[in-house]
Amino acid sequence: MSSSPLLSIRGLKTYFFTEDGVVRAVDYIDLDVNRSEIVGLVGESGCGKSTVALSILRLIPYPGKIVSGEIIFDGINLLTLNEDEMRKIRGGRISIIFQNPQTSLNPVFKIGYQIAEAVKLHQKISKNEEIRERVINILEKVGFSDPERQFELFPHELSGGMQQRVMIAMALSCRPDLLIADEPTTSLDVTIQAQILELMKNLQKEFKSSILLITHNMGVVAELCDKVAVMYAGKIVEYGDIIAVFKNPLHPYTKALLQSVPRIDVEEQKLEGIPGTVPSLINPPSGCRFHPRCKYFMKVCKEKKPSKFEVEKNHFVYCHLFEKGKF
Amino acid sequence: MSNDVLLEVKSLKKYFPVRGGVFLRTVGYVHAVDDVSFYVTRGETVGVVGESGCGKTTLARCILMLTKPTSGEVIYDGHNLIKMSKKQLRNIRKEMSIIFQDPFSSLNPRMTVADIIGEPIEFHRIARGRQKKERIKELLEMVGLSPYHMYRYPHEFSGGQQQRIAIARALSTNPRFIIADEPVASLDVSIRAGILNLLKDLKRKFNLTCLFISHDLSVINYMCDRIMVMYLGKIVETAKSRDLFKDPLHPYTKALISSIPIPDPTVRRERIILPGTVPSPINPPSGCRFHPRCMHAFEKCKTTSPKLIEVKKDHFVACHLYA
Repeated sequence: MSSSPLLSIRGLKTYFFTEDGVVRAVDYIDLDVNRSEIVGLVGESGCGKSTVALSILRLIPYPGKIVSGEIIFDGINLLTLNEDEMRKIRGGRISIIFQNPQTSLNPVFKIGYQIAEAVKLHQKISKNEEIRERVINILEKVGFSDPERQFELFPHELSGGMQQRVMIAMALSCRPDLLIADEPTTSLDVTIQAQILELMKNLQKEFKSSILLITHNMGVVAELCDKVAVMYAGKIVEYGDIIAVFKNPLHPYTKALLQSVPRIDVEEQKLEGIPGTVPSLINPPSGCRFHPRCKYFMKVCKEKKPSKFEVEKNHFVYCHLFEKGKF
Repeated sequence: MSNDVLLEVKSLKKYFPVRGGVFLRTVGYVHAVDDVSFYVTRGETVGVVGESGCGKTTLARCILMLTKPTSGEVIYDGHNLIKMSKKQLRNIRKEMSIIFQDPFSSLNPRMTVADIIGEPIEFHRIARGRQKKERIKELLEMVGLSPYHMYRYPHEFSGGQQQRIAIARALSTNPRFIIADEPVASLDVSIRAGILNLLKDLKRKFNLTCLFISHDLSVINYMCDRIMVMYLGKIVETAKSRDLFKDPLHPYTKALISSIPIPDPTVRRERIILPGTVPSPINPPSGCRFHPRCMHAFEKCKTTSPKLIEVKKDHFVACHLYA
């Protein structure tokens, strides 16, 4: 794809200024999402994945702040927009699905009404019948068998999987250019997860939206994404095509992560955990943040931040092992 | 064979009453565990897998008599636990331990690690004073922590370390049988592998018999010799791990296995997507409980509940397709 990417994040830093100190949740990351592409963002809890999502939508809660960087969405730097302009983009051109549908839906309104709200705000449709038609149409698309009746249901009357479908319906109701899915299937059972992933795959084909999929599940990423970015302690450590990253992982963290996932298609597997724990983001380790847990630790890792190396075409890694001439 | 069996469960049932109306009369029952029978042989790790609400945890609690079963028998090493008095149970509980899902809520926040691990040691009169302290140190080292962690409180540890403390506590009484109820579900992937390996090593070292409960088939596959698949309070299939993955028989097991995303983008499998969701256990479907979601369902499935039958050696399935 030669045209410029739909979303392009450059040097984003989002810090939380807490009483205990500055939490460097996202610390200088670059990330591109091309049109109609699904990009996975994987990492363990607390590595800053969700903060990236919230930064894009500029929904960082107090005491967090986007300190510096650029988020270019379709040629516009989102960080320079005022609140009114931003509101038009949120839910209209960029929408988000959260992990836990139960807490994201309002318990006192019917689901049809909640979806209609987004349509009303962003699509400039005022006729009630027309809105209703749109909502019923979208409910049908996300797999409700009897949308006329289900329009009138309250969130608590639905199972977790169905609630997540409502969230997807809401997010897609305005045909966004970019959909951010923040752990969309983590709270669901596997058979329901399979349903939701299948649904997202099909809808993506139909709507041609780009998706930024945030998850900790390597399986989900492998299944759905075209590209993947691996995040560790506020930084992206590796980025590339899905097959390149999974078949030829470069960063020691990516390697270790893939080796620590139990699989059903491999017999007699030997899992290798990563020693130690995820570091605190208030006082992250110097140099490369993974160095205290890294098998291939060298002296330079402690002293210098690794820069970006393009090892193959479109396959980037931030690791001193790939210093020019060494690999 | 009977000598090898450490735990045998016979037609175990647990119904929870559902109360409603003005006078809180019992209006129905949650059929959490419904007529479950199985055995665990010495030194074996048996996995229980199923989706949330299928009765895995209730089963575990019933085996330890933490909730009293409605009916059935739990025979541990020749003793029927259901007929035992509280006092007798206390003695036998020394031999049976449990590790819970969420280490943070299963560790008392006001007790130090030494107190947490020391409590069962003292309660079961295993050691006191200096000996107890030595034992705690030994346990901490066994699970990969240091003795200097003894006087800290649970909140000072990460999730993985907390789970290690819970494991140390479970092992403190030298049990022979351990139930691990989703021990890694709340942990991050990189930490998860460490805990699984630790459990595997300890199991081998002390020749423990283990009932391992998880919703994650890949974790179960890694840990267990034999697997039981549960659906809505019933066992639908049991087999040796390898057989279950190579040749799953029950339509639910097939769907479950095909639903698991494999962390390899070059593997493309045919996927069985189950329609609908797990029905409520208050009014479970008639006949085979899986029939409303099953693509092979026929008339008989709606009326008669299938029995667990041995289709191949050590491979049991409850499905009319194989009758």
